[in-house]
Amino acid sequence: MAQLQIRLDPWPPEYESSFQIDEFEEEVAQVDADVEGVAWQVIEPSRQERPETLYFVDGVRRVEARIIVDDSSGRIIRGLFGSAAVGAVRVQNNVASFEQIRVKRLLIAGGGTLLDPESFKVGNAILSFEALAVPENIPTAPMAGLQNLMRAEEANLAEDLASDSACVFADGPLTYLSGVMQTTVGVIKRLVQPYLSASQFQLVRLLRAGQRTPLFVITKGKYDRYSWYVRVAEPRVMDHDVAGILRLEVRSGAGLERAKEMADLSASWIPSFAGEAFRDPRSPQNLLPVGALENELRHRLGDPFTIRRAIETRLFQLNQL
Amino acid sequence: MSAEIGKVLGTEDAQPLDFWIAVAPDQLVQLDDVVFVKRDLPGGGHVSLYGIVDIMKARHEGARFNSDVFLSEEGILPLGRSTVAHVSVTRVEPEIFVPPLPGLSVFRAAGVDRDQALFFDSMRRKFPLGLSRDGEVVYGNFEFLDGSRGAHINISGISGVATKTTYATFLLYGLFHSGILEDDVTNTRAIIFNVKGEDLLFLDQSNSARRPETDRDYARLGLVPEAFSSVGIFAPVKMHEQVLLPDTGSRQEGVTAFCWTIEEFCRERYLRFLFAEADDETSHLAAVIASVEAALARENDFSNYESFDDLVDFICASVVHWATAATGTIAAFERRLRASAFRVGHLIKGRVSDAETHRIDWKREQVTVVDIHNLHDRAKRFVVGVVLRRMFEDKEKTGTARPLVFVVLDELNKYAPRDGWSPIKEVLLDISERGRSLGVILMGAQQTASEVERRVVGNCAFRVVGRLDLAEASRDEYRFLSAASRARAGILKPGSMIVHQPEIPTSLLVQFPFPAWATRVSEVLKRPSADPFKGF
Repeated sequence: MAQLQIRLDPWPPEYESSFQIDEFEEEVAQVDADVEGVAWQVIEPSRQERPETLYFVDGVRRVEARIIVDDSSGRIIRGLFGSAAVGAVRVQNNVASFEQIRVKRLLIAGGGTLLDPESFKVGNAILSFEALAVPENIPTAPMAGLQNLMRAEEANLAEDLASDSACVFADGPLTYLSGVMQTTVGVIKRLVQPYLSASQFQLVRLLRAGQRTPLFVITKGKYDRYSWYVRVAEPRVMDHDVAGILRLEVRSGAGLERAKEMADLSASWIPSFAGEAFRDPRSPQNLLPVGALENELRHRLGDPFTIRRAIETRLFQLNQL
Repeated sequence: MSAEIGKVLGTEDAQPLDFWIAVAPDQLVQLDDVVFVKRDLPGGGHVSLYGIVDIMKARHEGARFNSDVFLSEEGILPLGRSTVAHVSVTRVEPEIFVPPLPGLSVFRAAGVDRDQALFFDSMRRKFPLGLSRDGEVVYGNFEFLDGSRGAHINISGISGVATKTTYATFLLYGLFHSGILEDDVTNTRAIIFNVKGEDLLFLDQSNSARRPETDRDYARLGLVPEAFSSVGIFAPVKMHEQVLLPDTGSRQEGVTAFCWTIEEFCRERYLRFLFAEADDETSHLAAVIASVEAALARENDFSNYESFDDLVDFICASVVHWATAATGTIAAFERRLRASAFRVGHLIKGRVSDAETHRIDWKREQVTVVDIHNLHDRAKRFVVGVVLRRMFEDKEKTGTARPLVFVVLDELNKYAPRDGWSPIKEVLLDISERGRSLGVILMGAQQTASEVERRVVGNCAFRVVGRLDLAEASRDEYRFLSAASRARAGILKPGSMIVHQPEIPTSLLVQFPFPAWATRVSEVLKRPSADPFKGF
C-alpha cells in the first residue's frame, strides 16, 4: 500500500461550509390523508397530561480542518478532521438538564481511503480522531460523511432514550432510526415538501397555536410514517403564515393509537417550549431546549482555534519526517 | 483535616495575590473561609498560597437573557449553575510569588494549615480575638498589643448595634484569663470609663441570660465563662448632697463615690481640665490658666474654701494679680471657669473627712470602672483628663512598662477630636505615642474614626469595626478594609466585628461570645440568698 500523506488544505473550514447538505427527499412520496377517521379539519386536542419525562435529542457537527491526502496515485483525495456531538435535554417535572452528551471526532477521507486514526493531546485532553472512509471523492463527500455519522449518533441516542418508555423528540426526519417500532417523534423545522395537496395544505395555514392537522401517512422507501402539522406559536404580523409550523412524524410501526397520542401530546405541550424571536433567530420553530442543547454541544466540541492549531502542529510533525 | 472545596478556575485571571475558584457543587463555602492551594514549581519544590474567601458569586451558565431564569425554573431551558469564590491571598510560603494554575485543587484550611494561613503559627504570644464563622479561634499577636512591636486597639461602630465596649471588655477578659499575661496578671490593671448607660457597672456579676452555647464558645476560646473577679466601681458623688453618695441608678452597693478635694485640685494643677473643650485653645487663655495653676499650687491654706464656688470666687478676684492679660481674655477666663464650675463643682469638695476613700484608686482592683455617664460633658472631660493624667504620671514615675495598664475609653471623638486642641487630647496623644513604651495600652472606641485625631487612630496596631454607617465606611480611615468587608460592615450583627492586625494582610470577621458578666441590672444573676424572712 502506498504511503498516505496528509496535508492541510489551508483555507479555514468556514469558507466552504456555506453549502447545505441536502437531506430532502426528492422523489414524491405517496400520501394518504385519511387515516385518523376524522374530517380534514383543525384538531384542538384537549390538554393532555404531560408525560413525566420528555427528551429532546439533537446534534451538531463542525469541520476542524480540511485536508488533502496524497496516495501517490496523482488523485486529489479530499478529507477533513471533524467533530460531532449529540446529546439530549431531559425535562422532568420542572427541571431541564443536559444528558448523555457524546462527542465524536473523525478523520474522514473520500475515495474510500481509510487513514490511520490520529490522536494527540491538547491541554489535559486527548483528542482521538477515528478514521472513516467515504466512497465518493467529490468535495462534499467527507462533509456528508460527518453529517451522516452525526445523524446516526442522534438516532442511536434517541433509541436508547426511547427504550426508557419516555417521550423522545428527535431533530429532523426519522431516516436514521433502525427500529420499525420506534416511538421517537421526528421534529422537522423546515417545510420543504408539503406532502399535502394545495387544498389540504390550506388547513395548515389556519392552525392556531396548540392545534394540529389530522394525521396523514407518508409511504415511501422502507418505512411508513404517520405525520402531522402543529403550530407552536402565532406568527408575528410581518411573518409569513407558516412561521411557527412544525411537521412531526412517527414510524407507523408505533401504531395509529400511539401516533394519535403523540400528535395530541405534541400539540398540547410543544408550544410551551417555543421561544421568542429575541432568544433565538430560528424561533419559534427551533424549540428553546433544542437551541440551548446546540449551544452546549458546540461548547463541548471545544475551542475551534485551539483544536485547529493542534491539528496543524500534528500535520507539521507528520510531514517534517 | 483539610478538604477539597473546588478548583482554581481559568476563565478569570489567577494572580499571585488573588484568584478565583470554582466551588464544587456539593461543597459549602462561605465568606471568610480560610483556604489554600499548593502549586508545584518547575524544577522541583512547591509553593503554598493561603487566603481568605472575600467575594462569592453564583450565576447561570449558558443563559443570555435575564428572563432565562424563568424558563429554567419552568423546566424549559436547561441551564447550568456555577458558584465561584474570590480568594485574597494572606500568605505565600515560601515567598515565591507565582499565580496558582487553573485546575489546581483548593482546600479548606484546617488545623496546622489554618494556623499557617492566618500567621498563628508564627505568633509567639497570642490572645483570643474571638471565633471565626466556622467556630475556630482567631488570635491576635500579643506582641502588637503589649508594646513590644505595637500597641493600642481602636474600635469603630454605630452606637447600640456595634457592641464596641462589650467587645473591649471581652478582649480584656481574654487577656486577663487566657494566661497570656503570665505572672504579670496579678498586677496588670484596666481602667474602663463607663460613658453611656450603666452597662459596665455589673462586670463583677454573673450574667443570668447566659445560654449553654455561650459556655461552649468560651471553652473553644480556652476561657471559663465567669464575671470579672476583681472590680472596683467608682461613680461621681451626688450633686446637692451633704453625704457623699455615688450618683448611680441601678446599683449602689459596692460603688465608691469619687470626688477631689480643693487642695488636691490646686496642688495637682487640675484647673486646665476645666477648660477641656476643644475650642479653648487660644494661647492667651492657656497662659492665664497656667499662671493661675501656678499661683494656686503655691497656696498653703485651703481651709477657707467651703466649696468649689468659694475657690472660684477667690480665683476670679485674684486673677488680675496673678496673670497679665487683656481684659477680654480675663473676662473669657472667668466666664468659662464659672460655666465649668457649675457642672464640675460638685466633684471638688472643700472638706472631706476621709478624702482617701473617695479617690479613684486604679491600682486597688484589676479592673477599675469609672462611671461618668450621668455627668455633663464638661465634667466628663474633667474626670477623664484627671484620671488619665494621674495614671500616666504614676506610670512615668515607676519607669517600667510592666505590668500593663489598659484604658477603655468610648467616644474618643469627644476627648481627642480631629480639630482643635485640648488638654485631654494632649494626654491621649501622649498615651498613643508614648504609652507603648510606658505600658499604657489604649482601647479607644468611637462611632466614627474620621472625627478622631489621626495620630490617635494611626498609632493603633489593632483596628476593629463593628456595624458601620456605609457612608462612614467609605472614608479613608477604613482603607484597611477590603471592598467586600466594607460592604459587610454595614450589615454586621451585634457580636460580630471585623478585626485588622498588622501581620495579617486582610481583615478577619470574628464573633465574640455573649458576655459572661451582666451588662444590665436585669441580667444580674440573683444568688440564692439566705431566708428573706429570717429577721422576723
